[in-house]
Amino acid sequence: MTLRRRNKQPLPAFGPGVQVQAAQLPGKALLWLVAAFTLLLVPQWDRLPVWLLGICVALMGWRWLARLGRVRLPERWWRTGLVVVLGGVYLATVNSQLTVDTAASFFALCVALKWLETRSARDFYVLFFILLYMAAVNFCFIRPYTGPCLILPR
Amino acid sequence: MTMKKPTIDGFWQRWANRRLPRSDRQTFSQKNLFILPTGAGVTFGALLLVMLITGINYQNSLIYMLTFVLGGVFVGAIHQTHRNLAGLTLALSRAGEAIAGDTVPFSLRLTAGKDDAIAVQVSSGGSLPVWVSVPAGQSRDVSVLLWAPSRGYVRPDRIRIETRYPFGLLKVWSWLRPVSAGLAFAKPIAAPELSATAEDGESEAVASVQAGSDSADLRPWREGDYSQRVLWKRFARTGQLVVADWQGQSGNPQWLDFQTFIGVNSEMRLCYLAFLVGDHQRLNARYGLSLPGQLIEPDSGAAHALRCQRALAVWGLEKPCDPLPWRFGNRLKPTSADPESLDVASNGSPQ
Repeated sequence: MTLRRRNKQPLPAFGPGVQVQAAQLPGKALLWLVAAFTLLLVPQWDRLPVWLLGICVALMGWRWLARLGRVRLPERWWRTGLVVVLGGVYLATVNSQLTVDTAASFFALCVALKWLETRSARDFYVLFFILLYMAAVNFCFIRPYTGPCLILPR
Repeated sequence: MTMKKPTIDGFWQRWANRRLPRSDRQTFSQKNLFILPTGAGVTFGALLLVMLITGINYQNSLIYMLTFVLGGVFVGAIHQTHRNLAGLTLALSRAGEAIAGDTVPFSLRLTAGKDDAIAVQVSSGGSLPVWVSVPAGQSRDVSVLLWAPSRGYVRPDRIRIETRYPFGLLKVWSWLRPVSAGLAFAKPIAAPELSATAEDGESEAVASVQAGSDSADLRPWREGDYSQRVLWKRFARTGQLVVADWQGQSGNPQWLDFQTFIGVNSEMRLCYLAFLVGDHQRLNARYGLSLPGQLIEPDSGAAHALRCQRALAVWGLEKPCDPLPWRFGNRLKPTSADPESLDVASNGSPQ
């Protein structure tokens, strides 16, 4: 966690009205975020729907390719379209159930969509914060150890 | 000027100014550094709160752990960010000069204390921020450009220094309130043609005042006179070698007079004079400057031109100064000259 946080350091602090463009962000920052997202997806591979996993990997790959200069980040209408379509698919699959499971998949979808809107340092902050909360939600699936924690000698 | 209405903002300004007396040199410590979370920091705090609630709700120790570790990182970041500026000395090394409408450079020197000062941003008002990193014990020079809209003294009320270094979650800032002022010269505006004729008349007027100092004496040629000085036309006419003997080495000094341009407002007159000074400097001529209340004797050269330009820049203006330098801390022994003590004496006397 601290590693990823320390990695935020090179992001130049943005002064009032000065938006730091993503192009100026160091490449390592994006690499760390991609690694973190992958790490957070791994324990959820059997819980998340397959299409969502695919979307996550695809959008993350898109951002990475944009970083390398192979493709361009989508325009505003493209992004809106993607949000509407994927949001619709998500709502259809959760079927108005509200469980920890659906919450976890919702955060995965959020991060996946946020990849496409990472232009300024501010976007990276938002992405990072969602990732943090996703990490917290991941802990909900760990079955707590309910046995005696500490046997005190009498 | 500003109204004397007591506002929160005004109160805050006065409170901050008491901690930062006007000085060309400021060493930052916990007494004059201000620290607050940035927008990202506030969001981070809210996120921690939500994570804590989630942890409580699901009674999940791992979420607790994550939350508290992150909270610890945040508290550590407070100290780290603060230490970034603590011990740093910011000094104004030179307040620059420029033509009005241009930017005046203010040279600043940052000297780090025993800790590094990383990603420090120096700015003033609307100027573009300058980024600098100063390793421990070293110093760096930066230049902040201030826009000067009109001629006169240029003194930024505050030069701001800020850093958000480790995570960008917090910002720590302070100000340098310089005493020294830079200078903005009058903007040269091409003087109208009228000035040429007016100046002739004017120089005659000055000449009469100066007891014929510009009248050329005619005398017979002597050995050693320059051939350029011989009036050859007269020689052709009369056959006499006559030399015009001017006062001074390079001819009649021209006077650039404020009173020349009648019917023009004084700012415009100064602009015309600034142009003429530049013009004469280019021709390397001898000239003097006459302003109401100020007379600069005729001379030539770059130093003289600079002196004239400075005189034009500050004519009719007063050097900015603060009526009373407030001292920080009320435990300092008040002196009789200290206006604060007088204040206390008049207010604090028991009835």
